[in-house]
Amino acid sequence: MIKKVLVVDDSLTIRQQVGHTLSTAGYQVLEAVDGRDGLEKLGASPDVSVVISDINMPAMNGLEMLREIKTGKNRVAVPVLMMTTEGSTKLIQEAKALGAIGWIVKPFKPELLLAAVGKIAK
Amino acid sequence: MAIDEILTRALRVALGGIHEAYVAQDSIAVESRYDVAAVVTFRGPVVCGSLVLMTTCAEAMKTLRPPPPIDEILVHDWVGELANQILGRIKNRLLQHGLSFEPGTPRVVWGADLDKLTSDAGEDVLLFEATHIPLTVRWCVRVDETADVAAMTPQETATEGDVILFGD
Repeated sequence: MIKKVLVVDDSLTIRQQVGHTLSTAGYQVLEAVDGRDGLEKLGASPDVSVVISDINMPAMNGLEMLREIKTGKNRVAVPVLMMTTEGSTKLIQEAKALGAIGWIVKPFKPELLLAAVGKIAK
Repeated sequence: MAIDEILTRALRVALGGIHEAYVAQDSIAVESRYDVAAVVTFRGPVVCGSLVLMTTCAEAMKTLRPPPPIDEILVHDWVGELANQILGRIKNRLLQHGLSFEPGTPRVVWGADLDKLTSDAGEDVLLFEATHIPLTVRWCVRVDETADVAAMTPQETATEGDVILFGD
């Protein structure tokens, strides 16, 4: 069965770059433009295997979305991988405490992204 | 180290890293005027201000490697993302000196004579500029002069490209 990955980023180019990397490796890619959109897409497709999310986004940021996914009223048991320019260990620990499964500092290397997704996809 | 030296170094290292990651070796000097720019603001307890990245659509397009078709909207978005990544790199380096800030989201503008965007930043603003062809960054920073930078607690940061899986 083809695994679905939800990519949440307000940058169209990042969504395309990540989407291209994943789709050429055989994943089905869904896109969302911010955290709120991410929650809606996840609600409509509960069979998503991995969520990859930016942090700094308008409307709802990635950590707020992560909190909703893990502890909100519509919580979903899906691995969430944060992908951001932020490298603060304090922020990384905060994401870990909220239930993220990992952290990638942009710019991402395609081979490392695929290895991480392959390891954590449900 | 004086705060303006910390800020200058952070900008130069950040822009150099972006140049190394994205700019092709055969990129030539920009002769035409900048026609696209991205602005990102930031705010922290000691430093706040804005970062402006200026380039040309034609040169920015060369740094973009998604699948075709590449159109103007995509290039404008990409310039915003480059500014976001430069500011992220700056933030990571400043954290190592105990300086923190929260970045805003990038806004992209396009048109003629964009190099005049930050030419009058004001007397109380430190203006830094760095160029790695084809990208120029102007970084306007207001500093709390009463802050004791030497007394701040450095934070550890992950490096660009790092992948950290928490189960490992």
